Amino acid sequence: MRARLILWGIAALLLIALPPLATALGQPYYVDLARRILILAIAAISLNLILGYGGLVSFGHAAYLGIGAYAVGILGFYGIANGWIHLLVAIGASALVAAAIGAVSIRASGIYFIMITLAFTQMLYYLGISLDVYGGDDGMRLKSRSQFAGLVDLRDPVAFYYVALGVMLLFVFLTYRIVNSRFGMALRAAKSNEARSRAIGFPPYPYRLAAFIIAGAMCGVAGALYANHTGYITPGLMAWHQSGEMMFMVILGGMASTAGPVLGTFALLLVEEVLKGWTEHWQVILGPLLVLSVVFFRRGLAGIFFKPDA
Amino acid sequence: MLEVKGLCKSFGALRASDGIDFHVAEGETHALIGPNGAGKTTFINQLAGTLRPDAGTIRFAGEDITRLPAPRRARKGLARSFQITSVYPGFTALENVALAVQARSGHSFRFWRDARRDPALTGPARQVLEEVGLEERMHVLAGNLAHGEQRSLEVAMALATRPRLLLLDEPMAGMGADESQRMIGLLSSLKRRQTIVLVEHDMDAVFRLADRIAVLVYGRVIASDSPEKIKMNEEVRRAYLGEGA
Ligand SMILES: Nc1ncnc2c1ncn2[C@@H]1O[C@H](COP(=O)(O)OP(=O)(O)OP(=O)(O)O)[C@@H](O)[C@H]1O
Ligand SMILES: [Mg+2]
Repeated sequence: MRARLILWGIAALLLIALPPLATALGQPYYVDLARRILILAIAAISLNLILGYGGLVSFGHAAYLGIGAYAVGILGFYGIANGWIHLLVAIGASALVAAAIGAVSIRASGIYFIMITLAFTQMLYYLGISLDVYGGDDGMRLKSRSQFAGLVDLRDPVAFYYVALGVMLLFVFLTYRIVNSRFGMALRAAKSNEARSRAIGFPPYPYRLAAFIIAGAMCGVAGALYANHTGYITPGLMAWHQSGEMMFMVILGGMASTAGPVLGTFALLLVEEVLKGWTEHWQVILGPLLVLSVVFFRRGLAGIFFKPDA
Repeated sequence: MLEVKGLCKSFGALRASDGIDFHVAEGETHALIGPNGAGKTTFINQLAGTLRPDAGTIRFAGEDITRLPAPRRARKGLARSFQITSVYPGFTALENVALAVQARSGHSFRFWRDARRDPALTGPARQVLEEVGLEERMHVLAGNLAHGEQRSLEVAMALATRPRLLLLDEPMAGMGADESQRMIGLLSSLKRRQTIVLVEHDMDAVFRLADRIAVLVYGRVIASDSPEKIKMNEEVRRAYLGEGA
């Protein structure tokens, strides 16, 4: 426990020190890259709640990344720039959509659950494409960033970086509390042995649905931040390979572990970055690399540092 | 307490429950015996709500629960142990039992407090673990416990829900002699204050514990009586006790 806290402290310090270091090295681009990773790590953290702890293999988690982003883009389009409203709508809309998708999909098991979550997200993807007002297929540039008057200016890349870092650490902590609470134990128990859970009086469905909604809402926040990060929204955010990549971050990092999704996101995106620098055929190398990593690190990267949770 | 009437369940052409009538009175230990494949587990599964009967009714504490899903029955006070061990392998013994305590402590939509440091859960869980003799093993992952210990944990989890009726499906199966004795001791200490339906092949245990015994053969109850009368029953001896007793 103490060792974990120390490791988290070191990681947090490194991340806090990153912007001044990058500036000193004359590499401001690293701040941008790290910010993108942090935001996607938030998405991965939210997915880990249902995939890792809940055992729900959602192949549609990118939906909420898209919904969060579109919330920011569409509100801005109509001249509403208040960041708090952006966040509120991103969270609310994601939670609502998650409630609807979850209500339909969670009773289905295994492959059907995967297919239903994927199908719904594809539906949203096509919806995004068909919305010509908001740029359709091409997407749309944000009219303005979310505004948090007096608090922080997201146009300042370093300030925005610290916002992303703060939100990520907050979500790590929130998730940690949730998965160790009574709710989290009920959720994990249902994953571990559903028949046993039913027999002692836990109906799995309401706990899974609640987790699904919480995860969707959390990912909506990531989406809102992501729109601000790129200054752009596009249906591509909801494409199936986005969902796939998110799952990969979680699995690579280590399912059902606190640090897993963060480690997985950093590892995947950094390796991607390095490979992109070497060759334009980076995907050909990345694929086998990922397969190898899963074969060698059964418990994910987090398994190297920590004993995984149940 | 429990009243079953005309319970039927078929798997294809096989009649696993063939019009079972079964009554359990408050406070008694009611054994259910019968040869392999007689339909004992199928019967327990219908009582617990894992299987839907094709016909018949199950009344529990004056209420018709025939169509109630398993978790609702559990919260009404029906607990069961599984013939094939079914625990949470990745959680410690203490966490397993604490989960059962949690399940009976109202809803679990509590998102903040650490459940594993909640004395309202771990306190009663420790108590039950002591009762079944697992207190020294409570921090061991359930998946790493020996088979007999897992069997005890099964029973502990059922007990921890503070059931009104305890359904035990061969709790002694695969236990060593010492462990069996210990389990028999535990069950006899529960007698009177706990109503029990006990499915068991170990005749020694059955005759020591049971107030009444029902004999199930091919999905039918062929006899239901006091242990003494069951011992004397010709039909039962032929159908079942023949080789053993
Ligand atoms: N889900 C199922 N599908 C098909 N047949 C089943 C199913 N469950 C049980 N059976 C059959 O029903 C019959 C009764 O099985 P059951 O498990 O209830 O017997 P049992 O009395 O518990 O036996 P044992 O003493 O071996 O535990 C058996 O012939 C079994 O093969
Ligand atoms: Mg059986």
